[in-house]
Amino acid sequence: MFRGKKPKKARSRGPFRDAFHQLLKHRAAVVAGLYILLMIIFALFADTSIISLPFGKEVRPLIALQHYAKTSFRNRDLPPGTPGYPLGTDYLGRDIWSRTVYGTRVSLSVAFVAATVSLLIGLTYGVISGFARPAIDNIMMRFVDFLYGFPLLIFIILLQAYFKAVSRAGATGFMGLLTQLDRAMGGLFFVFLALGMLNWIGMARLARGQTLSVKQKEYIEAARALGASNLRIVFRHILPNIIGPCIVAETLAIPGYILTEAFLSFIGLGVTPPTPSWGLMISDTYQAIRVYPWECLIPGAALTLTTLAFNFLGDGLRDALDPRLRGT
Amino acid sequence: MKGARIGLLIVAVMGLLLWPALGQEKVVLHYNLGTEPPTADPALAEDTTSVNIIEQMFMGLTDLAEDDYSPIPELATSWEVNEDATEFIFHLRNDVHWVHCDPATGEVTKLDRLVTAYDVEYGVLRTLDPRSGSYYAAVLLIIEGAAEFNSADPEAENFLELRDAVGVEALDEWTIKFTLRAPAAYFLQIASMWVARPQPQWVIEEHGEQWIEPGNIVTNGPYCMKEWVHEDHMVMVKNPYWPDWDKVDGNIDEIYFTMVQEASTAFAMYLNNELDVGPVPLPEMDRVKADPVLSKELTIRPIPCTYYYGFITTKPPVDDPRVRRALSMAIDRVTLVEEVTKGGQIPANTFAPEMIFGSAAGDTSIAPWALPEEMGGWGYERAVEEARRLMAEAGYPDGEGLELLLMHNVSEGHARIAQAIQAMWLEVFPKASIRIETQEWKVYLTTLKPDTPIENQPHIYRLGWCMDYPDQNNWVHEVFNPEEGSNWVRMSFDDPYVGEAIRRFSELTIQAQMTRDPAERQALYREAERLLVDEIAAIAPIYYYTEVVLTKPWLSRRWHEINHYETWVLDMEAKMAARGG
Repeated sequence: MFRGKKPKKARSRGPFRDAFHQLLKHRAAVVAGLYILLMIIFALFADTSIISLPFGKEVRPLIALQHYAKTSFRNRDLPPGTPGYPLGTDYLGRDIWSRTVYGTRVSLSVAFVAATVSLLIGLTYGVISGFARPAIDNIMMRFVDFLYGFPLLIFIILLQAYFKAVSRAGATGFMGLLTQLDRAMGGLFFVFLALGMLNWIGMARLARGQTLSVKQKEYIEAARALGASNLRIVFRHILPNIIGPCIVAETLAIPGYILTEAFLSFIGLGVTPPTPSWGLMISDTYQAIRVYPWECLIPGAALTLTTLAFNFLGDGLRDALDPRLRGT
Repeated sequence: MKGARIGLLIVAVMGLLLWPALGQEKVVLHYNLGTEPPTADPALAEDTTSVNIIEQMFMGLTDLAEDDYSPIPELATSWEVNEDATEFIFHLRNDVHWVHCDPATGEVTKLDRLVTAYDVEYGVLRTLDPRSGSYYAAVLLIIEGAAEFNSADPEAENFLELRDAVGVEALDEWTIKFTLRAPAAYFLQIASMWVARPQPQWVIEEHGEQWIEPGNIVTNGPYCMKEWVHEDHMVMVKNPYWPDWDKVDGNIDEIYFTMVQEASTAFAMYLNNELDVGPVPLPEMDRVKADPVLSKELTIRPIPCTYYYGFITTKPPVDDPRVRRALSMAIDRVTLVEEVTKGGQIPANTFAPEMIFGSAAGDTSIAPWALPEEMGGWGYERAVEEARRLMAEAGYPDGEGLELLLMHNVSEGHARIAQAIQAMWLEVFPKASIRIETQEWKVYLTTLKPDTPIENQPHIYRLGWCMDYPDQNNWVHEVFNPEEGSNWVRMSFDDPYVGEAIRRFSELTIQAQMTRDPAERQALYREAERLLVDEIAAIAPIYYYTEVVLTKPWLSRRWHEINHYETWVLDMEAKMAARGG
């Protein structure tokens, strides 16, 4: 038996724990992560809708000072710092602080929903394609190539235009359900759908490539020799080994989703007014940039900071999850 | 010493050489059209930009007076109207030449042809010809036989007969006679429109659709086209052979039209002295009004246009007139024009604005809820009370269960107004759901046309209407008559709520068309407006437009409904000084 102090033995750490420690060393990523955490809190507690949900109480603004659609025509275009309006008001006298806070809901839900959808579809598709027989792989990848050839943005715009038309015509059945959902979400649902439906293809390619390379590894051969089933091999051996790069790629794609939503709203195909999307807030006010600069610079700053934060976080995650790239 | 003398001599000679050039500096006006003119063809124009450039190049039979839009002589020096206003004979002047402008040099040559009644006859028939596909041929359908010819099949055997049967005839070179199918005192104003201008038959037959391009085009107005770089700019030069130069004060030799679409860009160009006339973008309005220099250059004046929201009257829930009236009442027009549009617009309680013959604008017996108390109306508070009551009566207390789609064409200004009105409605009917959707202009127009299935249409749409000629016939009748007008609000005699009122409205505007006595017509139109806006409430008029423009101090301009550049005076020296500095 040992006497006195136990010898300092490095405790073995799981790969994710290790990655987390690495991530903490990346200062920019930590700041970015905290910022995103703050955004999440803003989004959740902009008003009391989550707190009051189980009690059926009336929703009150919480972090936001007012409801985002509350207009006050006589108080329009007030500069930041006006009592009651910390960041000023816009052209209809709506509180910009409140609208920006509510705007985090739109941007973050787009970021998370689109990323999750794209990760789920892309990963499944890619792993199946990479793991399956070459013939199937071939067919599946040609389909992806076909989708790749599509101008994505134009396709999303067409989809949005179609969804809007369906929604206007008052569809019934399944589409009717979707339109109801979309209305309840202020026009966001179809943005999710359009973004998610098309953005998984990059992820599918990545997942397939990773699967192909991991498939050749000795430990897979060993598992196979031990009689492991395909399912077990995929879930226990392949997925854990490829998930890192996939998460990194997805995190780095999030700013793209946020910007696409902002762009769609900017051209009038995104959320429906008065739902405050940062893109919509910018498009409503950018022409007044010389007279009332705060009206578009504040949502603009929020948008820039958020995309920056996701980029930094993605960088940090890449360093943490992929030791080979560390420090590059 | 000697060197200095020679130097002086050189300067003197140079000065003498330059003197004439300096003295004859061309007076150039820089004006922004705001968009590429869709056409320069008088038969095909349907928008204000095209009409603006056509006005410069082609003379009308009559012209509209600057102040009251009454018909005054232009190409026709006098006219005779028969007792029941169905026959109009115009006597033309015989000193107007067709001219051609060389696109390379800008030199204008006088052709050996005078503008005659035959050119006018050809112009009218070409506009009406179904093969031209002119949208505005509609205003000429009052002419006898015009409707039959306009809807004829060009392949049909009797096509030429139908053409000959149209009631327009050049009696000789200087006399033209129109026969109408119904009395229309306002035909003198229709005669001022671009659809009834002389057109050069030989040029059109030689060049086909390309006849309006510089080099091909032959014109007769005060300016002619030298250059047209599509989607970029257009240059017009003075036509020295235009006979009336001694009757106007204008001194502009050349007009440089830009086609900048963004109001903010045009505004910046104006500030930079690149334009002599500039728009005021909505967001800059407060700044311009507060600026000591710009506020002096600012002109705000009413123009004969109306901004309104139309209801698709057969689409539930706005098929119920109570819902429509409640929505119309809940628009705070005063706040809207003061805080959102900010251009001195006037709250509207009727469709046609004041300058139009037969208008009942400001008449407090029509939709008084739309007017503030100072104008004799109800004021907003009382209107809101009544709106709440009506909405509850229609089965939507506080707007509960009310789902509406409001649509407008893509534009920042319309978006602001729509969001403001949405906010007003939600304030009054807090439980309603009101969505806003936008469409690009051409798509939008297709959506609104009556052959679009009703399920693809919104409940409420935005449109504006500007006069073609200053008579109510051009407003309530042509736009809304359920039988003969466009009727995009889809009023129908079978309407379960107000079918009877709709039938009366239709009869009234048709009767007014046939009536000669001005007082009687006025009364008929007043009642038609009351039905349209108040009882049926097919539309919610919002405001009468104003024109908000900046004019540089070196330009003194006149305010015709369509710009008459030949009456504008520009101080080129002051302009050059400002541009140089």
